[in-house]
Amino acid sequence: MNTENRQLHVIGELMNNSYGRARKAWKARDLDGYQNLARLQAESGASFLTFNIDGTRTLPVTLAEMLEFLPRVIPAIQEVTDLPISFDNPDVAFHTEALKYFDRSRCRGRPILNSLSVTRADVRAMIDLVGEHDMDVIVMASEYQTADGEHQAAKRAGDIVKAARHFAELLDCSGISNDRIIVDPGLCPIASDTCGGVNLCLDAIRALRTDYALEGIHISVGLSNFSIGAPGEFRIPLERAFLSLAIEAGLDYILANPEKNTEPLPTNDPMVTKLREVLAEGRPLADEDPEEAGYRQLDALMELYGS
Amino acid sequence: MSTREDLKTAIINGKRKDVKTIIPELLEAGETPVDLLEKAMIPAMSAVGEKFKNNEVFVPEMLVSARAMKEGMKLIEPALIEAGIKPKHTAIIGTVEGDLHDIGKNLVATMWKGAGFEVIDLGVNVPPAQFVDAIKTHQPAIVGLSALLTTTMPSMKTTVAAIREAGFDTVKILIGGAPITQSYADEIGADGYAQDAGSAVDAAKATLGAA
Repeated sequence: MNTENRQLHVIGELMNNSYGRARKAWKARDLDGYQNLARLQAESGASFLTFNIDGTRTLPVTLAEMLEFLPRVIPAIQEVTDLPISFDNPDVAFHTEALKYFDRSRCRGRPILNSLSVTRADVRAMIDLVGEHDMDVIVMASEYQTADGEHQAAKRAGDIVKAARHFAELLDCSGISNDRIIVDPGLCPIASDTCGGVNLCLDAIRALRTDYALEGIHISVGLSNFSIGAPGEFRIPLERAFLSLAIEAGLDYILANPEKNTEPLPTNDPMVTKLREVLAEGRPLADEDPEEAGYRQLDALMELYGS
Repeated sequence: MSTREDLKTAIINGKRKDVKTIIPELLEAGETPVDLLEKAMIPAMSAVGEKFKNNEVFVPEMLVSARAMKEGMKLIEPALIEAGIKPKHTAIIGTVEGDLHDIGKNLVATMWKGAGFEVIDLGVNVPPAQFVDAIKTHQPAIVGLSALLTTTMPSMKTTVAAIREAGFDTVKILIGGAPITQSYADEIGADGYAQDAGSAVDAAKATLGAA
């Protein structure tokens, strides 16, 4: 267990079109709206601010529309906060353009490029940007590359460590040290976790934290994902309980809503104990079909909802 | 003595073990497998779908019900085959090329099986040619394409085009995944779209013009 005291860094996620307030600001290209979201998160204790203007299910957004807005919105955000921005987009063209308008001298720490993954087309160009602009970088490690070059979804903690090591080596070659790498092992919603995904995330955090080649890395998850599909009154308690378990395993960053879910519950809180019990049910017994254990975990989760 | 209503209740409550004891009892007592399917099991899943839409139950409840249904299907399938009754619909499902995410795809497969469809699951990262080959082999009524990422959505367009170019004009193509919308379905020539696993059964039936 990793019980040493690490400071928890919150990457505020409100500037993302999944949130209604962000959608409203995007639709009106409302600079005040973005400034308000930036200010609010800074006041709520965020250490970084996600900036994601990609489309959603209900809001189609093209790359051209995003690029057109960057010259105005990035300086506007920097007018009201000196927090570093975490630029979140899969396309290197977005990052290249965004960084043209980002003033590093007005910012109290390194900005973040979110993210590298084996499925990205322009990993090399993204790493070059991280180096040129003195950035930290998020590595999505939930997918890895096999020996014959195939991409696979991680099924074991070792797969996630493998993906993280792959990028740590690439980044090291460009002079980017482990302490600038934030590894995201991937966190699935517990409501539909019939295949041990939440336990895999916690196991991976422990494995990443103890891997000698990854010493000094940071570890993050997207916390709001965890409670998708849960009854409303359980969402925040479940997220805070999971956060408590993840910090215990070695987590030190979270992508989260700083207004709501960034405070872990005490490890002896009844909700933390219940969540531990639910997840213990999801561990397959010897020779047991993992799906069998997954459904046992769902049964235990429903009992928790009913308690 | 158990009744059809008990079977329906067991599926609604996701009681897989109860389903396994009730079905043999009912068959022994002279119930036909078709009646069990049409008058207890399918209505049970419809009731669960309705409760999910109304926020009376949540994702785990829906999944355990679908699993109980699946167990029940295993028990009555031999008798259905013996009686010459085939599943009403065959479906093929897969995550499109370049995308490795399987959770949403698996949930939809579970729900479709729960609705009594025969489901052939091609897995993840499925190239268009593999969908085309599977359609040739299995002659499905419906094909489900899944993608989680905005970067892999274009694979859906390629896959739909490959299926149509191969001459399968009547097979219904349904798409879904976090970034997917009805307008994207329209744009790429898919027949329909499901917002989540809970609505995937209704969407499939609507596309097929089935009740």
